[in-house]
Amino acid sequence: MLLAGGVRWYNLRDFLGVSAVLDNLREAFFSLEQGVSQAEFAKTVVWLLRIQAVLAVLASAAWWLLADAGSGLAALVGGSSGVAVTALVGLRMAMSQGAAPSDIVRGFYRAMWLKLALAAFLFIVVARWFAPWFGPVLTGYCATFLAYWWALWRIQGQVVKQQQDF
Amino acid sequence: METIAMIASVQANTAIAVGLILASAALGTGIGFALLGGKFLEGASRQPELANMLQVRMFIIAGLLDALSIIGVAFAALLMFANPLLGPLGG
Repeated sequence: MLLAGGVRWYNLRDFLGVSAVLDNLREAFFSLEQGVSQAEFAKTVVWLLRIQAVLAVLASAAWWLLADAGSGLAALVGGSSGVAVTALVGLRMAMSQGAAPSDIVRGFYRAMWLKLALAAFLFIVVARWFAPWFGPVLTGYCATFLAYWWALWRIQGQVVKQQQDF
Repeated sequence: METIAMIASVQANTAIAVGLILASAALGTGIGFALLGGKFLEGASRQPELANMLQVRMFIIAGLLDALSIIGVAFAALLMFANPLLGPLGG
């Protein structure tokens, strides 16, 4: 009887066109959710770039104060290299946002290939021009990695907060 | 003559060192990225609605994953194009 009732309700839903409305609502909700995720990705990338830029400037200022202007400039160049490769990866990965998972992974591997190629090119240029200040260059570059650790810590904090809210 | 032989020796050892650095960097990041991509696909196939969120995590982890290999590439570039080890030999 329960089954018969269910079948009748299912036919009634079809007859009234309720299922189409429900499907549309589900699709709209899913696309809204995806839009929020895309905004979250863009927000994370912009946040990361901003923090990296601040860290590069801080490393540069520290080298300038502790050593000389050349070291400061070299640290700034190293930090800028870190910001440039992060921006490239962020842009390339943003292009595959909302795609199928296989396309996302393909875009990710292409982004990583581009990142490695750009990093190699930048460091060849830097090795030619800033060879006497290679320590400051590497310090500036490594300073930008702190932003990634910070981003991980931030995400962990968000997850803990979501679990507590739940 | 002896100096030239020493410069040649330093250059040969530098070439081997650069090759080892690049090979290790490629091996490490290759394994790491393969695991990362595989786990992402696993997660996305279990919960497709989380794919975009997982992409954000993957982006951050990837930045940390290839940090050391890019530093290795930087050292390799320094050794190849402005080798400081040749300085004492006047090379």
